[in-house]
Amino acid sequence: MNEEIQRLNERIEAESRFVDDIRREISKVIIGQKYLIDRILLGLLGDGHILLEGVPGLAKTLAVSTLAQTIDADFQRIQFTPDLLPADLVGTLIFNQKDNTFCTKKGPIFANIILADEINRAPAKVQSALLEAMQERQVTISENTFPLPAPFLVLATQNPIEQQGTYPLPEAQVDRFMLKAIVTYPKKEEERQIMRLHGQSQKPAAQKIVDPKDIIRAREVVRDIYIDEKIESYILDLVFASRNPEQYGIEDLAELIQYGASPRATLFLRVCAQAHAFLNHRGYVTPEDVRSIAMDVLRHRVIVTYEAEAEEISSEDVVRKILGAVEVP
Amino acid sequence: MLAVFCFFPLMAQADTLPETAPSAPEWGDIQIKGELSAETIPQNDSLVFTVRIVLRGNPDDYAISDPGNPSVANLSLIATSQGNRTESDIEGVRLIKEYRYTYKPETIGMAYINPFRIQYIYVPNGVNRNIATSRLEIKITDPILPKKRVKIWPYIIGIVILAGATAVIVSRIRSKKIAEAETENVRSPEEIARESMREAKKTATDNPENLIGALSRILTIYITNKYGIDARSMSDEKVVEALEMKGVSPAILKNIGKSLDIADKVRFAAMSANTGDADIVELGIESLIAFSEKKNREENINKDEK
Repeated sequence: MNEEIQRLNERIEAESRFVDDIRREISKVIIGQKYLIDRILLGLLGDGHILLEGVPGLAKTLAVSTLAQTIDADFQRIQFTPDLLPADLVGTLIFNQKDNTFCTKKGPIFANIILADEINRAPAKVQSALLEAMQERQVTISENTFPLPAPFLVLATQNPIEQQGTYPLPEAQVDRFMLKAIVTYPKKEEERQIMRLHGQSQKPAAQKIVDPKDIIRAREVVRDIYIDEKIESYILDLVFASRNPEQYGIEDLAELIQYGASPRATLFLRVCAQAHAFLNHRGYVTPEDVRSIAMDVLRHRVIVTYEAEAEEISSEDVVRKILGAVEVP
Repeated sequence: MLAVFCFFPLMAQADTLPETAPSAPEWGDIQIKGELSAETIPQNDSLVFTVRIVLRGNPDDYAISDPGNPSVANLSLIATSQGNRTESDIEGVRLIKEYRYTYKPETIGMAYINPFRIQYIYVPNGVNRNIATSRLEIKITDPILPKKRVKIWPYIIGIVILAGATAVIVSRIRSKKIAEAETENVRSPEEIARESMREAKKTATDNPENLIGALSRILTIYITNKYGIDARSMSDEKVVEALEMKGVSPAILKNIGKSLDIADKVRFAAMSANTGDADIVELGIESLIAFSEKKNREENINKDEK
């Protein structure tokens, strides 16, 4: 067998060992929610932000804060409200009467992991301030530009129950999130364990496993994971099937899709598949890696038509059909 | 119901009352007729009494008051209706006003419809006039009881059940024959897999990578056909888990896991392979096929014993 690939595999296996330790540590605090934790890890390793959707009380905040503890990262939770201002998020200049000077007061966005709770409750100007920071990885306050700490991961939540008094994120802004993960209720047995765990007088706490520096190094390793041409073609086929379904034998989707996935989807599918392979201690990407993350990468990027909405066909149904139709290598 | 169909006039006369009857040519221009649907009806039947007023000349010359309902004995009114129509003949146009009363007899014996009186004003000279039908009598006989119905439903249901059962038996025999014919013609997944393996080995003798690729496809198809597991879209771990659920032994699962791992590395990790790797993949497929065949034989023996 090829020695280079062998070495890469061994390297990945060694480098990705901390992932299991993180999972083990998080599982002390969070019962179940493997999907959520995996997605957060994908975001962390793939250097992309995550949009979480789920009803309140599913341990989203706890999962993120616990992960922050395990990687020894700064964590900030920002509750988005209609009266929030961009300055509340990014910071502002404060006049110092003693020195007669203005000094910069950095906002809560200066942290490694940000949980933007109920992002759709804040008006568009605040949303765009956050999304700009997400994209540029820097914040400008007055005349000074401050880089955001690395790693910088934003997890934004959307509450799917209430729609009144909210400012839904425009499609163009939603596209900036690498993944859109749907968090669901735990299983009955998991909930029993949650009940018991939280009934204890001493709350369990997660210990530090790695440094933020280790995460940055792991990100570089993730980018080195081998991705075969066949897998690249598969990714392209998935994205192009969302744009030209008729070319992939799914003509019936043509009138259901208003906009297919953007080139960002192609980039994120690739990096997410690599990160997924990393989580599975593999030095190469398989079609299963792509399929595992395809729904989360594509669901918010495929915009369905009014006809589809009238027929209660969601973007998830469309993506599912694409995944079923495009030939797996 | 018989009475409705046998509609014949019992009386047809223009009856004028002398006290209001001035001598006038217009006199013959209005007529009243009373008709019964039958003069004898059973007690459980109904009777239709039709009063027809025929006007000739200008209908506006006659201001006819509402006649109300006829006075009757031993009858109860169940329905009324009224209609106007015009007809024309050689003598000219005539307006026909028709009043229909439907009665139900009360008791067996005789029933009567008293003279039905219509009052009208002849507008050109303002004279009040009356016209009336004669008193009519109807004989009410014993009610005609409905004939005893023969219960045919049990027979119909019986026939339907019999026909259904026959159809089911026939279709089962036919499907059994078709299934037998199909099993005779269709090859088993094991046979297909073995033949595909032979062909793959023939075509990719000098290229272990290609052989491993072909063998992995054969394995995937075999698992899908034999165990109904969509191996094409599942990870190696999930395929092994699914096979475990289907009762495949751990030793075989180990071989399969190894085969899938090598195949993945060759196909997606650009690893160069040798014939030894291809042999491992082939062994994995062979072991699964042999296991399945053994299981098939055991199942057949169990079936025969039953």
